[in-house]
Amino acid sequence: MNLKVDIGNLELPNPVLTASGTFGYGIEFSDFVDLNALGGFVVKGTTAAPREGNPYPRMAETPLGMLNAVGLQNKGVDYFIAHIVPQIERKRRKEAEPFTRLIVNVSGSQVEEYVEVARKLADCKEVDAIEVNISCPNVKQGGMAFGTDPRMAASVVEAVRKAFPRCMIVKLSPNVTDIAAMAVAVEEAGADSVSLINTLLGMAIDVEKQKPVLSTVTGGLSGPCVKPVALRMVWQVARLVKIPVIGVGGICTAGDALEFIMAGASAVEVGSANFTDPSVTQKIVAGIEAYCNRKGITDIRELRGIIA
Amino acid sequence: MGNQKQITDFTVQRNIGLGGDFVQLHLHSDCELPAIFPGQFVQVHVPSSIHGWLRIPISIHDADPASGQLKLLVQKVGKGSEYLASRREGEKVNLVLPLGKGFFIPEIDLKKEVLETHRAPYRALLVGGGCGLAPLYYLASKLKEKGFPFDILVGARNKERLVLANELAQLGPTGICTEDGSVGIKGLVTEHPLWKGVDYTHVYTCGPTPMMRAVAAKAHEMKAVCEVSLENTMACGLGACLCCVTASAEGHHLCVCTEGPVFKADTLGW
Repeated sequence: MNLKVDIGNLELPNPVLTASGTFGYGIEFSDFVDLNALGGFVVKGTTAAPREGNPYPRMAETPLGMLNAVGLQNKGVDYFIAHIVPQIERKRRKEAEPFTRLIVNVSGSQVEEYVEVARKLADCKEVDAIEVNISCPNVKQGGMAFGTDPRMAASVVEAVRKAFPRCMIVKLSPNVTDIAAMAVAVEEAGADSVSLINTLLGMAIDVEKQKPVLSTVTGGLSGPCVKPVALRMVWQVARLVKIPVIGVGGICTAGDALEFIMAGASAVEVGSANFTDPSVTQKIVAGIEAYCNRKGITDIRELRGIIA
Repeated sequence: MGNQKQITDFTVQRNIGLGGDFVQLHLHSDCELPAIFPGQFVQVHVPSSIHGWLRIPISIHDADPASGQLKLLVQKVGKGSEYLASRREGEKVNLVLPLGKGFFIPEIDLKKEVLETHRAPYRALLVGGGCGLAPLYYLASKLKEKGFPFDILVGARNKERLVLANELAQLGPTGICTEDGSVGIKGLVTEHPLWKGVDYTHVYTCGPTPMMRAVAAKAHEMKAVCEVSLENTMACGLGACLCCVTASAEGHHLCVCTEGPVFKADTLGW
């Protein structure tokens, strides 16, 4: 049976990826998951300079979900390439194609910053693809602002396109009126793929303290509670664009992943579910395989977009 | 035994009410357990519900990896901890463990530099209150096993809220402070006479933040190395999501679940 899928010119061994910010650099999960069993993993948002992120508290648990306001804390692209990539490479087996893919989420406050990160990652051959994050709700400048205006989104994507010659995925924000219009704009600007959705903007209040739970007042909602919204958006986008769509949002089981594939996704990213079960990604791969066997499906691509 | 983390099902062997909101859970696993150090914690699976679906972090109260035994002290403070505290004999609990960095213990080479920078003979004071006493119990039992000298100080608001004092007294000399004087010395843990006359080289504290801050200041005065154990809200427990950070003395963000939860007090920005 074939689980291999293509994202642009990048072949994945299977359609299961991890969502940026929920899987660290992969190595944090290597006691629980054989990273080589995954289609790939998207490592956390990387910026040109180190970022401290937002003050604590950065997290609030919500019904079947959570809000976060981490704010892209990371040590910067130079540190990532020099110190993290070698650790990741010790965990990856690359003897047989296609092997598990290393995808780096690229973030910034200005177009130039995205370009700088992308250019440096282009020179780091271990990085198979980038995911351009124009949808982070937790940074004051840039981030989601790029992802809510089709012209601004296109300008970032065009600039990064020139700096990064390999597979470029663009991660879309759900905090827009028409996500399909955003997808079309970044497709025309040269994206190889779109991933959606990033977190939904939300907030929580501590009624005893009469204060917001998060230091930033608002944050990004993720978890099983967002899945129906994400699924609807993937379905809308997949009908309109020709490039592969990666479904993200509340995926906890193989069944959830299959829903996204049937709605038109070529691959999926598993996010917050990694927190409740650090081994969940590998279970989802096995579950998809078991489903295909049970249904007599010989190629996962047969299921893609069967819900018209 | 390696330091590998694992996801393991445990069976509840005993559920002992310790009065107030506190329950002591005795757990057993047939799986081989890795080395577990005092100050480390577990992430407990709770069934997803409208109240939550993330795991809850609980510090390790006692452990004997060779026989698969683990104890947790649970204070009922929310739906997750209420669920855990209500697990009965024979029921299963799923844990991710062992997580985080623990307390410095001489000869357990976790934080070598602490001892090397300190020339006086090791003598420890363990100060805690409420749930904070859980990891200190495991620490005390390890110090006793290795023959290192230590004293214990237990603080509580009143007699009704005092927990683990008798159990700790079996491990070493234990002083008690209550705010209303209903048992032990009346006053705060920093006012106990134990502080006078003994030169502690190491002070370990776990409990409410104001108490830990006061203990750290007192330890600083006597030039003792002070370690504090934090309990920030966290999601992954693995250093991946960076939700649980605390500010360092230099203003950087430290990840509590992997760089802690035990920190040297003077490295923190509090």
